[in-house]
Amino acid sequence: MAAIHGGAGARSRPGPVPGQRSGVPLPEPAVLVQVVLWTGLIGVLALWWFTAHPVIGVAGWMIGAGDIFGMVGYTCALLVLLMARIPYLEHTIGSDRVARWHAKAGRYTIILLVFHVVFEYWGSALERQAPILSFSWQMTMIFPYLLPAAIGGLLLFAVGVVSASVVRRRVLYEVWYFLHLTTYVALFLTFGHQLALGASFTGTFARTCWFALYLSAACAVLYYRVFTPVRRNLRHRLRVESVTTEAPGTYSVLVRGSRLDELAPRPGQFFRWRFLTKGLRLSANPYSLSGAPGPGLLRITIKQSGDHSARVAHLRPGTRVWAEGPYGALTAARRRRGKVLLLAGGVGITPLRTLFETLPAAPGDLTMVYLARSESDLVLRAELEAVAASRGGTLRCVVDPPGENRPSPLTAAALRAHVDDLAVHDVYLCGPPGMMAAAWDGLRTAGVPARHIHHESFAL
Amino acid sequence: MKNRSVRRIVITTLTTVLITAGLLASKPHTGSGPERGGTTNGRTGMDERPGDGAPDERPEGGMPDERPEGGMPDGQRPEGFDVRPLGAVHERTA
Repeated sequence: MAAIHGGAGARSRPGPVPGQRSGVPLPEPAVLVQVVLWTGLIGVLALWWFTAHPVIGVAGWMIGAGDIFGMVGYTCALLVLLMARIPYLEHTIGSDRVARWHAKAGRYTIILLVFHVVFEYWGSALERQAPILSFSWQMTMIFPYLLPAAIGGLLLFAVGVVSASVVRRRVLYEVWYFLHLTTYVALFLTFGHQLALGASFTGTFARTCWFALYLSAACAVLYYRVFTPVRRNLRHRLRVESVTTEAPGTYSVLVRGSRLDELAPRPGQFFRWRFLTKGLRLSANPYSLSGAPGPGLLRITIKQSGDHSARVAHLRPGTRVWAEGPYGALTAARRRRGKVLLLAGGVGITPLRTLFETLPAAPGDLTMVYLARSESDLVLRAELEAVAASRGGTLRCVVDPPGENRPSPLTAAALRAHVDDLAVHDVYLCGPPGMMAAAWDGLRTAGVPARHIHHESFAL
Repeated sequence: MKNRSVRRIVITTLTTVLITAGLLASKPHTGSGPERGGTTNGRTGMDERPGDGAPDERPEGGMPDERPEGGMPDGQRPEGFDVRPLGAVHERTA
């Protein structure tokens, strides 16, 4: 049967809503994870403090600062862990938020890395009263593990530069992606010098902890990003069944596979899809499931917005598909209230369409507001109307043509016109970035608390 | 948006610098370099010896009295550098 869990059986059952059962707010997983990460950082700084020796003279200050910045090795391991596709992080915090943490921490890591290098070399040269450039060269060539570390550092710096938004917009996705993959090589190259030269790693306990941190990151990447996808794809053997045009520039791709029920995707989740055909095999893009229309079938709906999505329109039946997932936290697990508004913009309808069909709700508790630029852009409309009719939900389709001087359909007043008691609703939000920002402002003005607005963005 | 992002990076960096300065200030500021051992602070501390790149006149395989037995692996001893304070290497080879 359909592979999306929470489907048929849950449709008309009001069911308990998480968080309402006990009346006690559930702990936010993101907060818990952040507490763990910050505690680790404090532990790392404490390690430096307890192992560092007296700071003597200007050189001592500089080298000491370099050593502290050198604890950036901790954030390097965290960056890898964050992107290891660990199911707990992906399903509870959400891929988009985890990726944003990764991006922010990555920028900061590069800054610390530069500081570390500058202060260590400069301080060491100052201590020795030697010319900084020639001394740095000698130091790099002579000290154990420092040459590989320098190469690794340069690679990390290059990745940081390419990931800066100004540069990122100008390079091909594939260039950015494959340069990013060298991060693993870079971290391998830099690992040796941390233990060989790091003043804080003379003790067995500290060395063991550091090894454990890096080993955990390596194992997580190998297991979740290599082993699991390989195993699943060999087992499920996905292939394109058909491609249909839903609207001008919007396509649905049906994918057939075996034992899809084992994947257990939840409504609202997505996979990273790689189509093994010319021009598409090098990139894996995230697309939400827009339904499971039959046994052994999954469906994604894609709006043409770039090279990748444009080529998808020309996929041939039988094309092998490589899917990683399911990922995403825009699911029923986020829900805290009985009444729900699903607010979709354009092709952002895809995850919300499955939630509209499956969220436990009594008749009248579900409302979907679906915005599009034109009537023809209201894809899957017939399906939505059928779901609304069968579940006693409300469907409001709003056409908002571009460039017209009309009031925004996303102001607080406009949203209240669709839903009277908006402030007591949970809101699931998905759409283009501009629409999401406008909707967020409108919802907040209408009195919806931020913790009741659930969204996921793929435009990182 | 961009300004906010830049401002956040600047604030974070300044905070880091302040925390670093605080940590360094909280450590003692007296002592002698070589005895510190085990720190990167003193790893180039051979100032008492004349000249950059002076040949190492110590006996092969041996280390000065105050160093742990075993000394540095030959392959890791930089010519003209005093690698005494590479504590991690000491620990490993002791």
